[in-house]
Amino acid sequence: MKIPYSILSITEKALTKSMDVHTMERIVKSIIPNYNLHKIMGFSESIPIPNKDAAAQIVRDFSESKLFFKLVHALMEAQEYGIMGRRYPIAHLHEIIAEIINLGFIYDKNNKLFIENSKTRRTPNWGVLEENEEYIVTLLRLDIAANTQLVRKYESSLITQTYNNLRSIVTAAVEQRNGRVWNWEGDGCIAAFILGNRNMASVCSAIEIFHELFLFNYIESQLPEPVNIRVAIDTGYCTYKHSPEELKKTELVTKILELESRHTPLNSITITNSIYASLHAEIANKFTTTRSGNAVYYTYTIQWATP
Amino acid sequence: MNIIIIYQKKNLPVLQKAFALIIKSKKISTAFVDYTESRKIQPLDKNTIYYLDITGVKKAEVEKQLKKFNNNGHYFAIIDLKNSFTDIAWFFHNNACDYLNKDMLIKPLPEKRIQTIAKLKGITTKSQTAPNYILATDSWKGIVPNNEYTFCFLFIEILDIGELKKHIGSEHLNQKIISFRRYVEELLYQVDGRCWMWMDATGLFLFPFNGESVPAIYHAIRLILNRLIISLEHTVFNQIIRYRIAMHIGNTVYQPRGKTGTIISDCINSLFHLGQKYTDEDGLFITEDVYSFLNEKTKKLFTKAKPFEGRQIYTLRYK
Repeated sequence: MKIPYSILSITEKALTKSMDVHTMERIVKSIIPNYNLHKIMGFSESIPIPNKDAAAQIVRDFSESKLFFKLVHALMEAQEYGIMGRRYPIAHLHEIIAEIINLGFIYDKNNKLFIENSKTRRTPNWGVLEENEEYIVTLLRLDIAANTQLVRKYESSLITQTYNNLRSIVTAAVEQRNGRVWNWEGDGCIAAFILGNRNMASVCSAIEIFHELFLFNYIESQLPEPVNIRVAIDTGYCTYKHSPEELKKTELVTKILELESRHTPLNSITITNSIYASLHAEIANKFTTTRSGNAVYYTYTIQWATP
Repeated sequence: MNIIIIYQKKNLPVLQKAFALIIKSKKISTAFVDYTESRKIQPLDKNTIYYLDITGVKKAEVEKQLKKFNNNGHYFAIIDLKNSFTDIAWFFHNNACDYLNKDMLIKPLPEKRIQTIAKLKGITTKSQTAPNYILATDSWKGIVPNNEYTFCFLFIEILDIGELKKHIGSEHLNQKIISFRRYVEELLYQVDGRCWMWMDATGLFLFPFNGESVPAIYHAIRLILNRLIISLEHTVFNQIIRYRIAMHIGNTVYQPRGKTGTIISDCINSLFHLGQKYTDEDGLFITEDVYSFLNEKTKKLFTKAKPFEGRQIYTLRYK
């Protein structure tokens, strides 16, 4: 994304007014460790670089390398927590943040990231995740059970209509909680959550999907039989890939596919221990413990009293 | 037939006990109205007897009230708990159809007494269970204040308010109730539901009845299924709430929200009883009137529960 000149200009001023070149370099090196300002600008190490020129060069480099938001975040940290024990009041910092918000981003305190405001736009990487970078992500895998049989048994228009409805239910439940559906295939999808309490958000999404699908099967569905699903949720480090095919090869995705296919009963949600531990007690109570070898999983199913 | 008891505030408990058997009657619809509010009563049909509590009221005021009843052609009866009027015959000379004093109200009044009066006055005592739907044309657009229509009623009440207050304090509790109410209003608005009354933690929503189906049932089920999510995501503070929903189809005179204080309706009475007295549990409870309009698939989600005030109740099977 191209950063408007007005924001770059204010940031340049902010750096110039708030610190010396040495501090600028220290901040920059915390993001790009091998950044050498003297070398880039063609100055020998012994020659001091004027503050204004150094600031202009740094802002330009960060803007071009798509790391500009990281630079702003580093300035926020310098003001909030300081560098080597000293706090640096950053001039114009409020103006910079206000301009970024105007661009359609919000600051996520938990992840310390500027992410896109979902009210203005929704992209799979929240506007900030970078290819091949590792992030802590919670993944939700949904699988339509007996998909092949359904497709063979019923007319394609009926199946398309039913699956479109299911897709709307899933997308609404996920995006309402600032998650993103990363990949839709014929028989299911993978959705990701990185913001806020991402584990709770993913579990609430899954429960809502179940309830909505249950009502859909009862009220709207034209299929003579109900659509059944399996949902698995896990969290961990995941290398972000734009390509869905590449994404499938990542460790967390492989793990969640296995959790869904091997350890999730029909019409149930299975979660791992790390997800379970971060749930609200009353939500956690709805899950029952299941063991598979040494692993412990937790499963949720809609419970009905017998008539 | 209808019985309306216009009571003096301090006498309400005595009168409620005295009319307990009549309240339970399937043939008689009973309502209590505060004496100070009685002027605002919407005139009902001719099958109504007004029991006027004149305890502590001056004679001139009583004369005025009786004149009003006579002018409107309404049947009325007198309650005088202090025996302050010695000339009881005077009431009957002025067309009263019954007289009750303190001694007569020690035991609950038998239903037979009302039936005798009804027989003498030619009032019909039809069973309340016979459906007589008054459908509004074009949903809310066809509903005019002061007219009677058939509605699907949804009663909702947050439970354990005392406990919640202890945990989060009254200020936070108010905020929680407001956020919950806002969520429910937005949700039910999607199926043409309007909040008609809201008092503390209790709400009553109206859906114009189309005579064929009850679309609101799915949103009611949704509210029950998603209770935990709603508590955590759509209300403020991290506290789970429990609530009970009761649904019924019946007739009432419609008045806009805020002007409902004088409405007397048997079905609203019984819905509040169902919502507040039937059980302590949370969940969704519907009357047979609602159940009969559900499709076969949806009916399977409900199970027969114990009857209440002469109506069969069904409850959602979700645990």
